[in-house]
Amino acid sequence: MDVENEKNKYDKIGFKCGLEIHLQLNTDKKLFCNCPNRRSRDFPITIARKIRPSAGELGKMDAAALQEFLRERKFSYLINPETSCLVEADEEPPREINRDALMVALSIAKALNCAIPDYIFVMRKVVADGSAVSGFQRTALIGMNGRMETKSGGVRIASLSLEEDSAAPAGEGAAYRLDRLGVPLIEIGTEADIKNPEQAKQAAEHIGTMLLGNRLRGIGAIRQDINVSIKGGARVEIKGMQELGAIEAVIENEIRRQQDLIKIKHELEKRKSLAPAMKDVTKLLINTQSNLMQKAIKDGGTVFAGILKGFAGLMARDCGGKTFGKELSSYAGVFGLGIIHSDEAGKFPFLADDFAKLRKEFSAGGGDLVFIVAGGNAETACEAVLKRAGQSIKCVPEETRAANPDGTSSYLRPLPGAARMYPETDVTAIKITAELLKKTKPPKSAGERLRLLEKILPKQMAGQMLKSEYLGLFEKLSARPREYNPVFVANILLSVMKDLKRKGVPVENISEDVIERMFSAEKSKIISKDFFTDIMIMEALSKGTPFEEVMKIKKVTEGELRSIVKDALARNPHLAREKKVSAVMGEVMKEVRGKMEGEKVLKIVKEEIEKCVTE
Amino acid sequence: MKNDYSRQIRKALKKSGVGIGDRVVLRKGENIFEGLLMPSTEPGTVAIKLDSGYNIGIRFGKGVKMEKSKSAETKKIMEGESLEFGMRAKKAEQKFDNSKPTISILHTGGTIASRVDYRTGGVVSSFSPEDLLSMFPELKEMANIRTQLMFSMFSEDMRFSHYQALAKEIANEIRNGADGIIITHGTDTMHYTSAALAFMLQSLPVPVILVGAQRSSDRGSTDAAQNLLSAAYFIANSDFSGVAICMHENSSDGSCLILPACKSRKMHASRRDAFRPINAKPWARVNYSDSRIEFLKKDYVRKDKKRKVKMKMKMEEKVAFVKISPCVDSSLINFLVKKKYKGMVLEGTGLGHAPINALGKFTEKNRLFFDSLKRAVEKGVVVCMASQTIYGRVNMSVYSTGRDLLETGVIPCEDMLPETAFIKLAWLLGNFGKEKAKELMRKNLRGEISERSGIDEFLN
Repeated sequence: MDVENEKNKYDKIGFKCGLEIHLQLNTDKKLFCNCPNRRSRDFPITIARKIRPSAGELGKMDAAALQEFLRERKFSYLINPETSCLVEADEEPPREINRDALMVALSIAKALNCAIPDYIFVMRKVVADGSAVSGFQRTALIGMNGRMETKSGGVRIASLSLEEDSAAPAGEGAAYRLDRLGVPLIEIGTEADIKNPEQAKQAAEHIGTMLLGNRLRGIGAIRQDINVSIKGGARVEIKGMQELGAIEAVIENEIRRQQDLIKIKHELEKRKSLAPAMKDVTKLLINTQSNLMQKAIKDGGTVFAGILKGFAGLMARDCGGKTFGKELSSYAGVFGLGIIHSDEAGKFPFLADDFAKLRKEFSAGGGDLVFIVAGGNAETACEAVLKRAGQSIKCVPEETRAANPDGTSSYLRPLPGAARMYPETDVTAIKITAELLKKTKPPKSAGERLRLLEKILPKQMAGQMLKSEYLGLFEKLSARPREYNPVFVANILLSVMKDLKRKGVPVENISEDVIERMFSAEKSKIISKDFFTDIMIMEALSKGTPFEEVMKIKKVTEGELRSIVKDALARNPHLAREKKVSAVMGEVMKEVRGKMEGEKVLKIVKEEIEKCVTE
Repeated sequence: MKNDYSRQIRKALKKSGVGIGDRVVLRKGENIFEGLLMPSTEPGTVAIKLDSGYNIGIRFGKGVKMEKSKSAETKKIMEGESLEFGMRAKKAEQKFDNSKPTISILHTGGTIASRVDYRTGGVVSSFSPEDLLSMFPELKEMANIRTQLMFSMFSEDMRFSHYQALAKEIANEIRNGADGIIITHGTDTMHYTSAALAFMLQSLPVPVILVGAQRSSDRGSTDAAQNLLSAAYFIANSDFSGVAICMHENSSDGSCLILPACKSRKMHASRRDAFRPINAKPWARVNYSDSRIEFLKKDYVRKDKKRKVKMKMKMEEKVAFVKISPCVDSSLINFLVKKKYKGMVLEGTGLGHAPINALGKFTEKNRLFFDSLKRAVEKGVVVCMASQTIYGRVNMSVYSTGRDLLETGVIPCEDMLPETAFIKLAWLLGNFGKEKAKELMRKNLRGEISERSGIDEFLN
């Protein structure tokens, strides 16, 4: 039987897989303070902080590592006072744990058949990358030793914890925004019981469904990590899959990558050769024809070259959906650089001289590979590539990788050691009583949810809503006492949103909070149904404008609008020439925000640009 | 010790031969929990640290079985990650370098030196001076460092005798050639200590800088490092002398302010930049990582190691603070007089007022309050007036209320901080006669009173 064969396939290769899922909860407030659980668009306050290694970490390090570690690291934190307070800024101790979040976590722990401790201790997990202002993330173990069923069999749950989300990276450099910091997050980790990629997806789906109605939607609201290993390979952690659909592809690619690496290892064993070496070749290649290298040198960087004996011809080999060359290069990628190697010398005829010089310098034979790294961190990057190449003779390295949107993955960092944790002394232990556990509401199954939806929505719409990312919001808005017409709400959340998305409007900018306020404003006749779509467009496009402003719709006539658009084009003729619709749109919206339906503005802007260009 | 396990649990531990730090297996119903036994934090509950690092608590009762784990991992984990959380630092050794100044760090406790206490689950002060040095290796690059553990206490627990012990040790260290002193201190009453030291130690030849932290040193985001290193950098690279406080200038890491000993105050319960200059400007701004010192006032006394420090160390403990509020009652004052208090600082309203005017039947008690103040002065209590507005200057000539109080002999404290006035009064009454104390209370001795009220000295 095919299905059986398929399953045996994973057995045969010794496939082992565990899943770790992070889901943001949609509580009103954050986990350890009373800031609203919503995101900001503008951040008027910036503070600068340094993180030093905490005392507890100093234990086992060698001198060199300690030296590196003792260096202070500087970070910028961007703050909007509406969504962050002194607690996030590490200027005030945390408040008590958010009860709503605790109750959700307990109910899920129960539903996953976890053992729940009698006392829950909030811990500090040391985080040194700056994503926690305090230098640690607060986390509490809510349940352990659980079990869930999937179509392909049972999966044990190792742990369920409730923790605060980290600060989100903001743009370039070591900057973070604090609006996400402190958002309640449930982390569920399974044992390595998952037998095949399909089951991994089923398990993730199962957990996702349990939390429908309690979790946030949108980018980053669910983050899935997997641990994969095969016989002869190694445990590799792949982080950051935001979509369910990606899981199977990422796992398949990882299996292939480990198999490919094992093949390369065997090949290298046959060639029996490795004496990796590297050199600073900035002076040797000073007359290079490569603009890239010239620029690197001009900017004060260096050029380093390495030799990998016996590696010639291997760079084009498959490696989990990429080439082995790309894989090696990704280790330089951690330092913002890439490598150019002699296997691809044919592609760069202007480097022929350089490669000839390098071959001579290293006394390289025909079976050897030389490569070049140029830039500020060239030495470190070159070292990282050499080290990785060295490992390929022995094994598949254990490491943490980041999932790419195309289903492949890239090297991120070594596997983390056991988490450093110590008690969060500012929060008292939480007593879990039988009465409290009785008050938890078991999560609804998908079938149950559908039945409830079908009571208030036409059948087809109910089915769509069940799959919609707005399900949680819809359930909230259609809860009793019923304030809004469910069909009207569902129509906005399903068709209107979908339509806008199709037209390229960034609807992910519209927070659930704003949508809720819109329905409320519509009910109290502050805005009219006809303007719903337009307000959505404006909200999605208006960076930093308070929603109250966005809602104040007043009309301008089409004639007035055309002259505003023409003025804007006259002021910025290059925008018209380059057909920068969104830039022009931005200019125009500054003046007509709230005064004209966004769709119409878009249409007229496009028309006027066309006119301008043809004139 | 009250935080130990209860007798019942201790008995069970003994029976199964398990001690704190051992690896245990706990069985409760179908559930099995395995980890290291932690000290008790919640009554009737066994706390264990799981291999994942999490602590959990399991109520100990019928049907719970505990045994020592057969797994041998116990000791291994204990060594790498001790219960004290790895704070057994190597002894910090330093060779004396003639070209560098010598800084003596006197350690008193507080958040700057605190770590986790597994018993209470709270934060306690207990880093040894050696720990501090190994945590902040930059210190050794700036100066020869001598360290000494004076106390391990929260600053709110300090009494005048601690100020005296500190002052003595400072003088000692100066005699032994120190080019500057750093005092690590809890922040709650640091401004009381700085004022006390300023009064006790006249004409200091070198700087004495108090340093605290609002985030404990065990976390990556601690402000202790910057405060301590800035103080050391300032001592090593400036010609300042006298007592001052060194703390964060704002919420960002970067610069610290060197704040006047008698005109600074903790103005926030938890922020890094809690210490602000009041009715004054900071002496200087220090950014050690940019190697920058910027003096904001130039009228400081220059360092001169030949100068001899003059010490007057006594403090009168029978001095009280009385905060004026609506309905404040005369019995408060009467009680202090009866208990033979020698001085009191009234924290008055506005320009230095108290409810003393009887305007009708609802305010008759105000007259009693006035009378009690009058009687206190007559009985020889030195009564001083500072303002609860914190900022600004007491002026008791503007309203009749102030004039009436002046008439009874209440001494206005000008723009002195109430806390400074309290310390100064205690010091004056300890070292001088009553009349001399009254006279000196109104005179500026250590920068506690400024002649002019600067226009740019509010809410900085």
